[in-house]
Parts: sequence; C-alpha cells; structure tokens
Amino acid sequence: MSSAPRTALDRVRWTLIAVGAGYLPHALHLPLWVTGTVLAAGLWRLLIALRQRALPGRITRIAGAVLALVAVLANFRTINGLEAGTALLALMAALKFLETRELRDHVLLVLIGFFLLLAAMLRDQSLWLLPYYALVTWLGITALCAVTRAGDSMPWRRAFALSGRMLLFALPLAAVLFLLFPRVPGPFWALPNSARAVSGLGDEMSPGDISDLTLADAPAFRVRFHGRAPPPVERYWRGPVMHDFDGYTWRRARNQIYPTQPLAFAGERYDYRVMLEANNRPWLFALDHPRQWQGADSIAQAFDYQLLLSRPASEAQSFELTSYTHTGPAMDTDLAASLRRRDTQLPEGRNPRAQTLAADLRAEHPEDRAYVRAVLDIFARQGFVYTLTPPRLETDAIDDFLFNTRRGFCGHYASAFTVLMRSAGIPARVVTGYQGGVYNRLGDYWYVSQADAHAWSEIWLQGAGWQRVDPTAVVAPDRLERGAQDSFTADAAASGRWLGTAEWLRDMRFAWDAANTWWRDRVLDFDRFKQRALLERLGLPDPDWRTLGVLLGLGLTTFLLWITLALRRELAPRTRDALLGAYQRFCKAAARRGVERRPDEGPLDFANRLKTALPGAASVIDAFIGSFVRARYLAPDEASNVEELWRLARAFEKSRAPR
Amino acid sequence: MLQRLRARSRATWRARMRSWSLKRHGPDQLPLSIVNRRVYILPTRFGVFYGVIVFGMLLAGLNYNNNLALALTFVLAAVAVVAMHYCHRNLAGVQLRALEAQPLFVGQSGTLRVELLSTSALDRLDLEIRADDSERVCVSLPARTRLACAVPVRARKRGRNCVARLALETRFPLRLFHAWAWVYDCAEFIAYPQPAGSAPPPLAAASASGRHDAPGRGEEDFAGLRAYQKGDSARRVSWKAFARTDQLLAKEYSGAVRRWLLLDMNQTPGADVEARLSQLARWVVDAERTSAAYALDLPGTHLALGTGASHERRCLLALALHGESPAAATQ
Repeated sequence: MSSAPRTALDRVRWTLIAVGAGYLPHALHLPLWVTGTVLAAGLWRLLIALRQRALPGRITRIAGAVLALVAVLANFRTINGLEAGTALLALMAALKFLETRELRDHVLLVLIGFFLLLAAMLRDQSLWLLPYYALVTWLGITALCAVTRAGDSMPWRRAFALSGRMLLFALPLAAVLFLLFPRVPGPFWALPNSARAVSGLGDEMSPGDISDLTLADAPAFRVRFHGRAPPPVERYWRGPVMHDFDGYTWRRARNQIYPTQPLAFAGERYDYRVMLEANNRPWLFALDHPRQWQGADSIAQAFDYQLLLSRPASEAQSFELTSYTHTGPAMDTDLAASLRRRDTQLPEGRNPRAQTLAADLRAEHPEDRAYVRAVLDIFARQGFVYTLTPPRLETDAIDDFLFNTRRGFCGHYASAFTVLMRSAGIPARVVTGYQGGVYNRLGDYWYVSQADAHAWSEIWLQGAGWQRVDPTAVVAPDRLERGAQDSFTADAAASGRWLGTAEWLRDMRFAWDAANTWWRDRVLDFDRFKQRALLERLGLPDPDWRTLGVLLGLGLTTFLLWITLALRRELAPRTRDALLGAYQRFCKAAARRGVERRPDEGPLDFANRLKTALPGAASVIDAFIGSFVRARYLAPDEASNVEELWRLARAFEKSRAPR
Repeated sequence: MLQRLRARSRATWRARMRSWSLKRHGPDQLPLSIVNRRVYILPTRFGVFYGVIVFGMLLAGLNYNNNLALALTFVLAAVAVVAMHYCHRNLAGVQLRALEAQPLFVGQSGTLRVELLSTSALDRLDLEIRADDSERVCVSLPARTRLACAVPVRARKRGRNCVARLALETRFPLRLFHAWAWVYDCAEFIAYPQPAGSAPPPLAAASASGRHDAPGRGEEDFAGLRAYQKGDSARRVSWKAFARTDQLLAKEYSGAVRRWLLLDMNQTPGADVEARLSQLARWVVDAERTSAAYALDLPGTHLALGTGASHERRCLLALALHGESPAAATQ
C-alpha cells in the first residue's frame, strides 16, 4: 500500500503540531536546552518520517530518558513543581516522538500536548493569551481527529471543519459544567511556591537608599465600590505597617503579638470589592479602616490593623470588604505598655540632630496636637520639596534629610515625621500602602497601580486613638488630589505614567484594562462563593451541592436532548420532501401557464395533458415526469435523483421563455 | 484448558447477545436500515484512557483553583460527549442493501459483497465491516451514495456456509467510542472442497469428436483468434493481442479437446468422502487448466462431458453440495 507512509507522515505532522503548540508558551520560561531538545527531537522525527528511515534503537531512547531525568534534576533540583514538571513532560514528549510507531503513540502525544497546554494555563491566565489557548485546543482536537482516522488521511481543511463543529457543539455543555460543577475549597496537595519576585510593597522601607523612584504602572489591585466612592483624600489603602527603625531602614513587626486596640468606626460606610493582583505576599490592601471582610482565603487582621492572608497571593483573588474612613474617639483605653514601648523605640545615638530638634519643639509644645502641628509646620515652611528623584542619604538618614537635602517623596516624609514623633514620646509608626487610584469608566472600577504606592504615619493620641497623619500632604497637597483626576497632563510626564496622553490611546488602555478586569472578576475568580451568588440570583435559596447536582443533571439532559435533535436533523433524509417539493414546483409552473393539475390526476396523466397543451416543452415535461416517477415509485432511495429533479423543474420553468 | 473455557464462555456470551439483540429489533431481512435501536455504543480503551486523563486534568484544575484549566477540562469532556453522538450518528441510517458471496474453496479466503447506501447528506467516514471473525474492511461512504465493498470471508467447511453475523462498526471520530450494529441475516455462500490429492487422473481413450488420439499428447495446434466470450478460460485469452489491440481475444486450437476425463467418485482413491471429493476437485481444476474435457459422476448426480468456466463451476458446486439436500444445486 503506497498510502501507508503518507498516513504515517501525516500523523507525525499532526502530532508535532499538537505538541509544539502546547509547548510554545513554555518556551519563554523554561531553560533554552529544554526547548532545544524538544525542537531537535521533533525535527529528527519529521526527517525520519520524510525519508522513511528507521526509528532510533531502544538503547538510545533509554539513555535519552535517563539523561533527561538527570538534566531536569540538575537544573531544577527537583522533579516536582510546575516548572520542573513541565520540563520533564516536554522532554518525555520529545523522547516519545522517537518511538512513535502506532496510533497509540500518536494519540498519547496529542494528549501530552493538552497537558502542556494545561500547564501553560496554570502558569498564566492572562486575557491576551486566551485566543492562543483557544486555538491550541482547536488544534489539539483537530490533530486527534486527523490522527485517529482509520482510513486515508484527512485533508487539513476538513479536519479543522470537523473539529470546529464538534467544539461548537461542545461549548454549551462546557459552559454548563463550568457554571455548575461543584467547586471545592482549598488545594488537595501543597502548591509549589513559584519563586517569581513581583514588584510592590515590601517588608522594609529605606527611603534613603532610593535615588530614583520609577513608578511602574503595573496594577496593584482594582476596586469596585458598591455605591459611592470615597473622596480622593480619603482613599488610603492600608498595607504593611512598619514599627522597627534602625536609623536608616523601617521594618515590619514580625511574629509579635500585641493586644489590638479596639476601634470605634465613624464616618461613611463603604462596601467594595478588591481584586488583588498576584504579588506573592500575604497582604490584602483595604481602605483605611476595614471593618468586615470575606474572601476565598482566610483573612486575619494583625494588631496594627493590617489584613493578612493565610498564604501569599500567588494568583489574583477577589475580596469583599467594608470600611469606614474615620475612626472616632475610641473607648478610653490606654495603649498597651508593650506596644507603646515598641512604637516609641528609636536606635540609640542615631540621628542626633533630629532628636535635638524634637526636644526643642517639645519644650515649646507640651501638648501632643500642638506638637504635631509644629512638626508639620516645619515641612510646610522650611523649603521641603516633593520629588521622585531625591539625593541619596547618609547613614543618619533623618538628619541628612531634615537638615541637608530636604528633598524626598512620601517615604522620606513619613519616616522623618514618625521619628520626630517618637523622639517626643508619642507612639508613632509608618504605614505603607497605596493612595488614590484612577477611575475606569468602562469597567466601573478604580485602578490602583504600583505608582500609587504611598507611605504615611499613624500616631497615638490619648483619647482619640490611632490617627492618620500624612506629612506628604503638607508638602505636596496635589499628590493626594492627583488620584481623583482621570487624566494627567503635567504630572503624566513627570511620573512616567500614562505615557500616551492621546485621548484614544488612554481610552483603549481603559477598555483593555476593563476587559481584563471583567475576565479576572467574572471568569478567573468564579469560585464557590460566586457560584452560590449566581444560584441565589436564579432564585434558588440556600443552594448546596445537591442543588448543583440536580441542576447539573438537568443541564446535561437538556444538552443531550438538544444535540441528539440537532444531529438528527442533519441525518434525516429529506429525499421524499425534496421530491414532492420539486413536483409541486413543477405543477405551479404549469398552473401559471394555464394547465392546472386536477386533484385526481396522477403524474403520468397530467404529463400527457400538459404535453398536448404545451407541445413546445414536451421534452422537458417528459424528462421531469420520467425522473419523478422513477425517483418516487421505482427507486425511492436513490438520493442523487433529487438534484436532477430540481434541475429539470427549473428547466421547465425557464422553458416558458416567451418571445 | 483455560483457552477452551474462554472460547466456550465467549460462544455462550455471543449466543446470549444474539438472542437478546434479536429480541430487541426482530429478525433481520435485507435490505435493512440501521435504525437507532440497532446501534450499540461503548467507549474504547482509548476512550477510557482519555477519561482518566481528563479526570486528572480536573483534579489539577480544582487543586490550583485555576478556572482556565477547569474550562479546558470541561471542553475536553464535552468534546467526548459530542464525539459519542457523532459516532452513533455515523452508523444510524446506513442501509445495507445486498449481501452475496462468490463461491470459494475451503481454506481459501473469499469475499462477501456488501452494498451500503446512504441517503442522508452526511459523509460517513471510517465505517468498518466485519463478517464473523474475519478482518475488518474500512470504507468511507460519501453522502447519498451506494457503495459496494468486499468483506473477506473464510469457509469453515465444505458445502453451504453462512456468515452468522455481520458487524458494521465505526470509531469515528476521535476513536473515543466504538459504535456497532449487528446484522444476523444468514448470508449463504458455497465452499468447494479444497483441491488435494496426488492420484493421477483417470484418462479416457476417446476424444469428444470420436477421433482416436494418443493420450497425453499435450501440444495443441494454434488455429487462430476469436472474440472472447464469457466463460472462456483466462488461460486462453491472448494477452499479447490484448496488449496490442485492447480487445479481449481468445485463442482457438484446432485440436481443442484432445483428451477427456471421466471423473467417477466411486473409482476415486481416498480415505474418506472428503478426501475423495478433494481429489475430484483437484482433477477438475487441473483438467480445466489443461483444457481437457471432463465429466463428473457422483452418486445421484451426473454431469456430462464439457469444458469451460461454467462447466467447472457446475462440477465444483456438485462436489461442494455432495451429501446435502439437492435443492441448493440450482444456485
């Protein structure tokens, strides 16, 4: 059989395409040697198929498998985890190429291609990759169609059409499964931590180190308010709180248990949803001050009111929160002594000039609030400049900043202010987080980027509790207002943000971000809570897994019924109807020419009468009636007659052509 | 022992299956349309494997709480469900028009002609037909066509054989599912006895024309060419002339019938009836090859002296049906 090698080559080609398409997204992330090996093995196999050479021997393959395992172990130190696992899978697929003989090997490879695709999805769920993922799925099914043909190989166009149709039929069922399949909480097995470093706020803050703060426009999180949004000056998103200062660097309190001071909430209540980007930190940013929260992961609140996740946010997640922008006078409790000690702590012998300044001021203003005002006055009056490119600071960073450079960004001001407070014995700490956000009209949400990172201070005032003080606001009031503006003109260039100031470009960015957010919010974050909410919206109170089961069964039944009918419609032979249709058309054409068929008249009698009335069309009439009688009575199943009959009916219509 | 047990259980299983399916859709009579209730469908081994893989993907998707991975899993699962319907539909509505098999020798494989007809506007790819345990034949049936295909059959015994069960199967598309329909229309075919034995043929001294010739003189005188007629032996066709003129011409020999044989079963050596029938079949075939005329005498049947393909067929048929009811001899 000469078609055998052709079929084999065809299969090899499809398998290579399926595995290659599944592997492609990994090529950027896996080491180059893995990609090289996969590519080389694929090309080798193609060459073998083209030249009809023999496949490599068993020893080569076993040696290859061992070598691949050793290489993966040497490179990744493990064969577990997404990265190493994917590399190993890809290498095994490459080796499998070299022993593809039978159909079994080919279909296995196509399935490996699907697994590679799955791994790519686990790695990156971005919206812009969705078309590619869809394409690879289609390719994979097409490859499976083509490879599993028992007969001759399938033309690729036909294979694509077949698999495309099957996918279209499959989509409704897939959607039903997606919406109704019970989601389980939590992972079954430990997820490997990916070692990616994501930009964002850290555990530490040393403003003196930074001489050029580049504001990345990478998203930190997005917020949708259910109702009114707070005014820009109150959009403080609380993040890590820094307690420990060594004279240069601020650090978070680790593993320290302090009593939480109760808060009395006041002001307006805001309900909102935070769609957090993956940042590999266990932090949730909430509008100052959060009161209630709910999310897929368990959330805890630290003693300094920071919201902590049970594990680092390795993927994007959403949370429902409620906050109040003001904390009123708390119950008249005193600050715990241990916390007061910690939040007034200053390194011995560092920043001496700042200490002296604080002592002098404190002598003038023994009352806490007056002292705070006096310190803020210094920032406002003594030529301090807000800049994103401050000079580097000496070891005694606060002294250097307060008395020499006087140029800095939020970190500098918060840091200096907190030190001055502590020097005067007022408990104070630095709060980092974000401030502001840009409103996206299309998606109705606020976009908070890394460029909105901010730092401010919190001080303990007897009788009022912890109060937020933002010294940056004194130096650069527009820093806070900026968040309220949809577009920046002067600031845009300075911050390197929204580089394209053209309106349409910005609109496009908004649209894209809105689409991304929709994708994340509605599709990627669809979890058991949203599933529940969906069912409740459908009018099912208190749905549980049994409700899901019943609905799933209903959906499946409906789908099966639908597809059975849809496919049967294609199957049903329409021959008989088509025959009668052609006959009726013929009769109508005859009636138009004055010869109407009598109800009792059979086709043959009618034809005779018609021929005498229209002698010019006799041959067409004979041909049509002859075909009709044959198709209807003599060979009823010859489907090929139908087209002929229709052709003749049309010919009869045209034959009337009056001159 | 185990093998025999397995064979027996398989046989009883098949018998049970047969009676069950017969009860389900009544006796079979051709032409026959493969209606829905005739089509059975089960996942293939690959289908089960695919299911396991998809289940693994589901676990991974749930574990990583990755909705995109779950979506892929659900799409793959749904594709399998769709493939099941496609597979079932690929068979449903096919019509089986005719079944006939040419006679063949025992031990030789012959072909059963099966005519398939599709009246729907649907191309049916990768249909596989199998008669009993023979090899599968794979055909694709385009929309609105009639297609004849040759399914290999094997004769188990001399005389009348029948294909007990014809299976029309398909695993298209994706090979996830295996749909099949059984047809129990006993398609009959005749198996001639296997030519065997090495005894010399009994030669008669008289030629058909009454002239006396030295027996065994094989050479014949070439007389000329005439138009080929149905029934002429292929050995007589002048292939050279065919290559030249594209016409089938048969060679004529002046002494066409030089010798003749009287093949009498009673005088045929052989251990038993079957061996003797085999010997007779051998002689008939040999005689035809050397263009000798022959007559056949069997208990109850006498075939007069003759030659040519149709005579050979008649003789072999008589041999095949020896000992069976004579009604079938008219076939």
